[in-house]
Amino acid sequence: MEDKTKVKKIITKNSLNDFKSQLDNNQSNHFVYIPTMNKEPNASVNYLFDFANALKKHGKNVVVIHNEDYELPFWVDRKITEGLNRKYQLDMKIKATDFLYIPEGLVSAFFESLNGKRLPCEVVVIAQIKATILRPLKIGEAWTHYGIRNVLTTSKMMKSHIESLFALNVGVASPHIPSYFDCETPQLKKPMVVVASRDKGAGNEIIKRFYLRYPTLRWINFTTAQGMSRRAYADVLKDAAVVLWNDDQSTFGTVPLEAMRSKSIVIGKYPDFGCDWMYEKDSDGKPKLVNSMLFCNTVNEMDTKLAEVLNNYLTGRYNKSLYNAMDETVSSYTIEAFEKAVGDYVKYLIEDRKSYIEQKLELQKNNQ
Amino acid sequence: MVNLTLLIPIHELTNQTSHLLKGVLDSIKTQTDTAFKTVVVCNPSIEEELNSKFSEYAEVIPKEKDGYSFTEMINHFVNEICDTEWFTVIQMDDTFNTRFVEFINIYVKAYSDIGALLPLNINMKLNEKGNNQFLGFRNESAWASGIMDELGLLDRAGVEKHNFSDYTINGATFNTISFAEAGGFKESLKLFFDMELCMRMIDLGYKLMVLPRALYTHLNERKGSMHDDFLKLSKEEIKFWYQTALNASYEIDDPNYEYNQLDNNAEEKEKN
Repeated sequence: MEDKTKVKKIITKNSLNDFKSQLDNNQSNHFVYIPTMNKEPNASVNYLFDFANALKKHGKNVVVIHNEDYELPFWVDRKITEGLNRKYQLDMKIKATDFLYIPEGLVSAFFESLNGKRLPCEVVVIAQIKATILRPLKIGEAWTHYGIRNVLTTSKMMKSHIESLFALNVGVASPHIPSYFDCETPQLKKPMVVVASRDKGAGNEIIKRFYLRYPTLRWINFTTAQGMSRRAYADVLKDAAVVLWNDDQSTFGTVPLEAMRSKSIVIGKYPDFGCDWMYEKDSDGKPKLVNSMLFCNTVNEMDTKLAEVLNNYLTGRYNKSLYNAMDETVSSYTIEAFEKAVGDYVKYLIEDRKSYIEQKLELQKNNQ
Repeated sequence: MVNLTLLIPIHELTNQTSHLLKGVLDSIKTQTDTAFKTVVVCNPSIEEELNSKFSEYAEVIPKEKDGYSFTEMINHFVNEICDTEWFTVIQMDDTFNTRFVEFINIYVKAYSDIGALLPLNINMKLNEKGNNQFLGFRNESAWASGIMDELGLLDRAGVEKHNFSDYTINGATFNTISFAEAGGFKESLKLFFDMELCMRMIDLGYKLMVLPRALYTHLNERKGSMHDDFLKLSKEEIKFWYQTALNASYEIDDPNYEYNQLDNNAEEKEKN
């Protein structure tokens, strides 16, 4: 990285006014760092592109950057990446009024790659996956050691978790479930079950148990729907009567929400961390699990619940309260809500950046 | 708009079978979707009794004389009486779920280019204790992967590969024009006339879809039923009708098939 990225050490009142003016007049760049993508579709990468696109819709100057040459994988939605610039790291010219957004799992590696050079801009962590927050850090290391003060995450539960680890400001912009998951004709759903299991072996065991215990239903189709673009996956969900979900590491619960939007009944093992939307208040104000999916304590129960659900499906029994609950659960995860949350967050970041530099000026005065 | 007729062909009614009509009547009365009409085609000798049971729910249309078979009655209905775009063949001793017509109407509207819609059948029989016992499904293998070229649509290779007798037209809904253009049932076929028609329609390019809902219950092996009579046939005759039906589907016209026991025995001996 060239030296022109060094922060000015002396902040003057004039430079502060310039700084504030640049922020207010939208002269900041927003660099969204998206790692070179796997061949397999990745929901967290989709979120980063959605985030970049939302910034662009709010009139921000957005640059999507990667660590090396790449070709946009087939599963990335071209509609949300259109118009975003993609530049290599070496071309970056970063100023103090810019913002750089990095995924949580790459914080250590990214700063190590700078070889000690400091970035003048505000670095914001986008934290989606709980498992990759602490694992890449050395013992005793924290994001604050890299000068990070702000984090954006996807749920209130994740926000609480991150705040319990680091003294940081944490904002929330929950992902949206695109409208192309909408199913207009749930009565035409096919006798098909999508198995969404992080542990593939456990997913296969559910199928084997089901076929052995319920031989008259051996003709029911199971699919993992892997290796597909999100739109192609949405088409599969719109056909599938049921989705089996097994992901202990889930912190947001995209899979069941997508399934609900597609009007597929979700049978899922309760994840270790829980997700915001899984809880509602009962008549006494106490939290209880929502009625929009069928929860299992263990994977071993899932085949039995599946047989019950399929029995209802085959005999045309319609659980109106379940479908109403599904609609209600998924109703708040719209593109409009996501874009508003991103817009509000960026406004906060800009104001926060201004007050941070003002504080720096004060500190500087006091030290002189 | 009424686009669908439930057709119930009844060729005879005895003291043992009369009570079975209650099931089909209850099924008709409790449909969630009432956009259909019901027609009973019968032999004239039982018209009066059927009128007393069905008058509120169905039009009873007798044939000119007794002696008409199941297939003859259906062909006659399509050629002379039917004025709806679709008709469903209901057996008098079968029952169907309250949403049966609702789902038929949904599917024929969504898939208006199909020639026939076959429901999953819940196959039951009366066990020794007189209770209904679940035997299994029929038509369900159209939805299993690896059987048909396209999930849910019957094709000749898939049906022949799996098992001819696993498929049934009990509760099947036909597009009236497609049924007539395909030539209707071959009345001279004593057995497997339903699958012969299905294979013929497939070969002629019609799509036959299996509605993936188990809304139709068929009472199998009922004493005194048409099926029960056929089980009394010899193995050779059953085999004859099976083979004939497989080959017959390549022609639209019915050349009046006849089983000649002596001729067929001689053929078997010659083979041996």
